[in-house]
Amino acid sequence: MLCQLRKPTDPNLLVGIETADDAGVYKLDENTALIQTVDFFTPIVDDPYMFGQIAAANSLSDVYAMGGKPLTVMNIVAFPMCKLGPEVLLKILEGGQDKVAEAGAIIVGGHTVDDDEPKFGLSVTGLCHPDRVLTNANAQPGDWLILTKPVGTGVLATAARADMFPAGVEAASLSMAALNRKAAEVMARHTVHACTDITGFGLLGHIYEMAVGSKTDIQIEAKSVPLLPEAAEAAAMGLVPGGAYDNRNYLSSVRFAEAVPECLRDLFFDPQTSGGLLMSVAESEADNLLADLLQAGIREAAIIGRVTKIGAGEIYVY
Amino acid sequence: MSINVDARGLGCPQPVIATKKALESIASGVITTIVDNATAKENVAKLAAASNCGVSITETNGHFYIKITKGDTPTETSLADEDTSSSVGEGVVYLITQDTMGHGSKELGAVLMKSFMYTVLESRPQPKAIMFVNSAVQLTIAGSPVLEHLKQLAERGVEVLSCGTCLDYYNLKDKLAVGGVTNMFTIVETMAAAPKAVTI
Amino acid sequence: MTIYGEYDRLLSFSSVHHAIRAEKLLAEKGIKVIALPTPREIDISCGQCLLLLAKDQPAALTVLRIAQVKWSKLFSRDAAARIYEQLTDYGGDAQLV
Repeated sequence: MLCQLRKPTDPNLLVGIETADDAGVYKLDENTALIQTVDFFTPIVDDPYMFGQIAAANSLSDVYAMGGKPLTVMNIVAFPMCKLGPEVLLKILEGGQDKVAEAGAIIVGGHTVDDDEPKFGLSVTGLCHPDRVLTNANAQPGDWLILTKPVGTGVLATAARADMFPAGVEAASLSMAALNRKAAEVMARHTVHACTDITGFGLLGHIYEMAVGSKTDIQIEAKSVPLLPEAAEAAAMGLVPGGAYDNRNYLSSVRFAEAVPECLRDLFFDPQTSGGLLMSVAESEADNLLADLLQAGIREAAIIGRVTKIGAGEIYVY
Repeated sequence: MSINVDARGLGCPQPVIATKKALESIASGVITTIVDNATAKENVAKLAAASNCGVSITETNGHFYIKITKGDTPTETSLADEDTSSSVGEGVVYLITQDTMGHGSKELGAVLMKSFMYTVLESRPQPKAIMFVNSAVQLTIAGSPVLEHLKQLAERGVEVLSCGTCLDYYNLKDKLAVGGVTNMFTIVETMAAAPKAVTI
Repeated sequence: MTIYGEYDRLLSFSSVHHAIRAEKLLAEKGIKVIALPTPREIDISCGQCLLLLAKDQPAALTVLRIAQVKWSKLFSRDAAARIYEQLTDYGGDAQLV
C-alpha cells in the first residue's frame, strides 16, 4: 500500500519502505541511527495480562530484528470501556509495562480510543549503530539460516478457540510472550548478514521476503524447523487459520519435496504472532552462533536451512 | 447412518468442531458437512483424513458439500504396521476359473474382472492366494488387463499361482508374467487348508 | 504404499458403456488409465471410473470430447488421504484446463 505513495528521498534514511523490512531506520550521526516501528492487534489469548505481554513483545521484536535496542515506547490502545471495564484494560497495560521493563525500555506515553474490539500494541523507538543495521536483504549464498523460536502460534490460537490441545496452547502463549532480546544480544556478538522476525506472513513468507530482498534462493529442511508442542497434530486435524491459506496462495512459487507432509506445510505458512528471529549467517560462524544462542537459554534455536545461490527468491522445502 | 452438519456462517474453527462431534457420535456411516468458504472446506477435509475417513467434495454456488465416509474400511497404514505374514497368512484363497467374471456378456465380464482384481488389491486383510485355472490363465500372462494389479498383489506377498496344465493347453507356458506355476495337488491342498476358499 | 497413488484425477461415468468406450479410446491414444469400481467415498452404487494423471487431463478430455464420449464428473484424487474433490462435470469448464 505504501508503495503507491511518493517515496521520500533523504540520504539519512537507511531503511525505508523499499524492502518489506521490519522497521524504519534513520541516521542521526556517525554513531547513531534511530529505529522506529509500530504494531498492534486484537487479542489472541483470553488472559488480558498475557495479551499485554504478547503484544508488547511482538512490537519490540522488530527493533531487535534490525539489530537495535529499544529505547522508548508509546502504548496504542483501542478498547470498549463500557463493555469490558477498566480492570481488564489495566491488566493489559500491566502486561505491556512489565514486558517493556524486561526489555530495558521505558513507556513515555500512549493513546487510547474507544472501540468495539480491543486492540493493543506499541510504537517503539530504538537505537543502533548505522554501520550495523541488519536488514532482511543481505543474505549471502552459502549462509546458514538459524531460527530462534518454534512455529505454530496461529494453529494453536485456532486450537484455543476450539478448546483443544491445552498444553500446546499454553506453550504457544509463553513462546509469544518471550522477548527476542537475548537472541538479539547474542546476534550482536557475531557477524550476521541478514535478520528478520517471523510474524504474520508465516515462516515461509518472511523467508521469501529475505530471499527476494537478498536476490538469492533458499532451501529449508522441513524436519529441522522447531515446532510448538501439539502444533502438528492440531494442524493435521484441520485447526488451520484462514491466514495460512492466504499466505499459501500468495506464496505459490514455493516448492515442496513430495515427502513433506501436509501438516508441516500448513505450519510453515501459518501466520505467527511474536515469532523468533531468523538470522542469515556465514557457514563458518553458524555453529558458534547456534551454540551461543543455546547457551544463552534460547533452547529452541535451530539451523533450518541454507541460502543456496544468487537467484530470484526461489524457495525449496525438503 | 447419515448425518448432515450445516456449518455455513460458522466462524473458524466451528465447522471442524461440529464435524468432529458428529464423527465421534457414529461408528460408521456418512457425515455431510456443508460450509461456505474454502478455508473451512480444507480444514474439514483434513479432519476427515486425520480420522481415517474417505472424503468427497462437491461445490454448488459457492457452498461446499463435504461427504465424509466413516466405515470399517481399513487403511494403508494398518497394512504397513502389521506384521506382513499375519495379515496375509490368515486370508482367503480365491480360485479364478475363467478370464471374465460371471455369465452373459463377455465385455461386461472383462469389466467386472478388472473391478474385482482392483478391489482385491485394495482389500484388507489381503487374500493368501489367488489361483488361476482354465481360461483364467489368460489373466496372468503378458498383456493381461489385470497384470499390473496382480503384480502389486504378488509384491505384497499374495501367492499368485497359474495351473501348469492350463498354461500348457493354451500354449502360454512361456508367456507367464506374474507369479508361479502350480498343479492340481497344490490347488486342492491350498483350498482345503484355507479358512475360506472362494471360487470366481 | 498407496495404490496407484500417482494417479491424481478420477473420471466417473453414468453408464458402464461410456466407461468401456472411454477406456478403450484413451488406451488407443496412449494415455495411461486404470479402470476401477467407483470409490465408496463418491457413491455406493456399482459404477465404473477411470484413474488418470493430472498432466494427461487436457489431452484425455479432448479425446473424449471429439469422440463424443459422455463422462459424468471429474475429481481430483488424493489417494493417500482418500480425498476426492469434484473439479467439474460434463458440460462444465474442465475443457478449459
